[in-house]
Amino acid sequence: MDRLSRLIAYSTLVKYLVLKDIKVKSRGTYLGVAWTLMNPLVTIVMYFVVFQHIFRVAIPNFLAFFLIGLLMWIFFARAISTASTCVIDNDAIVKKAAFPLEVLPVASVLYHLFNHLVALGLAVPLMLIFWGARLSWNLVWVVIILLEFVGFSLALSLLLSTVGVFFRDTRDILEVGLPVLFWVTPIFYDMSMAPRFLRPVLELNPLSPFIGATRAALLEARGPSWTELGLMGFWISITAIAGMWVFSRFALRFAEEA
Amino acid sequence: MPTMIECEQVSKAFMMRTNRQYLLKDRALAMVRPHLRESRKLFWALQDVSFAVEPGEAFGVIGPNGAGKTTLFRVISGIFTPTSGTARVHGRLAPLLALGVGFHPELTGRENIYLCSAMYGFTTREIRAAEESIIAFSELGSFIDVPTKNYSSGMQARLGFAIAFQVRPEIFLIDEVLAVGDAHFQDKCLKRLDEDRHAGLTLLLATHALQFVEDRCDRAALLVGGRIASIGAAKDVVRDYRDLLGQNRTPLTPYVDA
Repeated sequence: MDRLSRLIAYSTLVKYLVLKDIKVKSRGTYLGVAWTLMNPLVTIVMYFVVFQHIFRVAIPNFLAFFLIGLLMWIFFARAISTASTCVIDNDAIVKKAAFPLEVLPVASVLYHLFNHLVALGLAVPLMLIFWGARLSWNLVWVVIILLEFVGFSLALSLLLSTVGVFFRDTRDILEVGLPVLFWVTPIFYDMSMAPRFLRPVLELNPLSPFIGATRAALLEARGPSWTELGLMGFWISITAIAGMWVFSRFALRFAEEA
Repeated sequence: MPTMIECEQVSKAFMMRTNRQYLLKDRALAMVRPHLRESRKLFWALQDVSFAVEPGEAFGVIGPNGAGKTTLFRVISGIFTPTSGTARVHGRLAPLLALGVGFHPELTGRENIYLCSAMYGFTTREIRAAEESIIAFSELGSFIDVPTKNYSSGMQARLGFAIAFQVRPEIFLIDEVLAVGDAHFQDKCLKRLDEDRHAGLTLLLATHALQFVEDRCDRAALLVGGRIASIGAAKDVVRDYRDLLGQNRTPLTPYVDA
């Protein structure tokens, strides 16, 4: 609790760190911050061409179905890989300034959330108008699930940012592990299409309920099932407890090890 | 008024590893070749350091390179936790362990004012209120909107100092950063420091500028090899240090515990 109130007192720092990342990325380029828009736009157009005009997939509204999973995946994968090196990458300030170190993983997750929101801002209207998403009150669930997903990613980021300081292989493990995880996450396919031997893996995959529930809210205008709610709650609690405990226990040594 | 800084038998040990075995390969080799084995020794950067700084006092810390001055300041700022002993701070402390901590070279001077001040815990409103006087003090004029990567080191230092002075702390912790800028700017900083001291600022300062300690500090401590070799009136401690330097056998070897 004490750590949380310190973090809130430094929320201005979080804001300027996120702004720094956004500005630095586009500084000196001709398109500037518009690049933030270009990246998801190109992704969406590319898959639009692929799935509407080249491959025809039997799943109804496959383009929207796929984009929901993909965009959530991109946010998640980038957030946790950045988090795994956020302390080491900022060693100069970790060693020389006194501020609550939680600021670093929080800022890196929020930076990726900003990009994710830009991508959703492009994709969701397109899905609603052209690609079969349904306008209903259940869209409120999309926001709620997104908040939960951010919470889950943040909790995992706290954990991984700590592990990344003491165990530098973390980044490399993520680099090879994330592509594997991509294929055992229901992004290109639905849980029900998976072969029997993969089912347990998919059901244990924490990303499945978040993606499944978002799809249901957008494409079927239906709220999450009790199972999905339970699973999301379970994964958030586990990672939040582990992340906060590990981070607060080891943060005192970051300045020495970074 | 209570004591501002209280250090009681502060000790700080670092693990000094030679032949550090990051790689599995190295570990495997070490099993057959004992001389390749990692050796771990405790290196005591600080040992039983006790002193107190009274309100409004200027306290100097002097000593050869590697004596533990920066480590001591990091412990007092809360960046390091002491291995044993306690360091207590009563009052708002601003550590200035380096100038322009957190500056990003791609950001302009003005943007860096916001980022760097936020690192001291300021809110946007407070920074906006201080912005103009920071720019005025730094004398950077129109350069303030140029990326800091194009600044000379003197210009960066001026901006760093201008921000630090704006923090208006009760306790200022300055680690070896006074010897920057041209004579004009140094005079200006010293004048400002004197003004703030008259207004009740407590100063803890590590420096190699012995004249400065003699002229402006009330008391001082001489750190050698992580221990306090002499403590008392600034003039006496500086004399002790000059004697030590005169003997020309400054013990640079740290105390190492197997």
